[in-house]
Amino acid sequence: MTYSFLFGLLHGILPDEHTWPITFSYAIGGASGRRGMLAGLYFSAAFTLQRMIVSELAYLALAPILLRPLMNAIVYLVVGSVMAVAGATVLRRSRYPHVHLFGHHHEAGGQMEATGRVFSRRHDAGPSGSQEFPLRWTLVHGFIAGFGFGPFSIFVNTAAAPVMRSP
Amino acid sequence: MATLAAVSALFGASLRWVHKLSEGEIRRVGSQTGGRTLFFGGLLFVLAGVSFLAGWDRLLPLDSGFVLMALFLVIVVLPALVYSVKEVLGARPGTAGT
Repeated sequence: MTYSFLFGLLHGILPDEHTWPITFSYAIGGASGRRGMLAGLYFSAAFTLQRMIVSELAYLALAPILLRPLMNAIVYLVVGSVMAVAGATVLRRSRYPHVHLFGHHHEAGGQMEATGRVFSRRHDAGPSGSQEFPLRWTLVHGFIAGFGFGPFSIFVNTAAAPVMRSP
Repeated sequence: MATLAAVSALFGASLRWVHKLSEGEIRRVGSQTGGRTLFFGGLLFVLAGVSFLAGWDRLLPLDSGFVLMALFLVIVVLPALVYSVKEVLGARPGTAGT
């Protein structure tokens, strides 16, 4: 457990193709330290959830299937597709599908928008479009990116998880 | 989680170190850079996935993940940032046609 924790700390600092490209894009899109931090938190929360699920599957001896090199290739294809679609959607004047939960707050004008619709495709944010970057999309990206296996996750799933005393 | 959040906070705050940009310009540069890195970075990842399926990653002299990160930084992030800053500065009043 200690080694897993230490490797986790190291993994967060070292550039990794499964994490930095996505979190960088959303962090710089947020254009502030606070929104950058939120992007990192959302991404790593979903990433952590995915890793919890996979390490449990590894404990159940499914690691040989999950750690095949083919998995990395498939993950790159899926992650890349999701990134490209997200980027194209944002570049199209920042109109994008997002979820309304308990009202919706837009920074511009500080207005609270209440609607009965759960999903909304467009917002009337004026002719220039909204400049609010969809940080919550990092939750989806984080969960998908977690399927990519690097040295740290290989340690967790092949060495640490299987020897745990209980699920 | 904590280190990734801290690194992401640094990324997000980095644009604010450029004092020549206004608040709105910073948000525009951030939004455009983020969108471009997502889009072109995504295409890069798709290409990487195809090449991994074809087995071309075995031809690389370095770790494939490291190469992918380096390519992402050099051919996606830097050009996206430069282009976005130039685009925003070019849109300032009085700079049209220059």
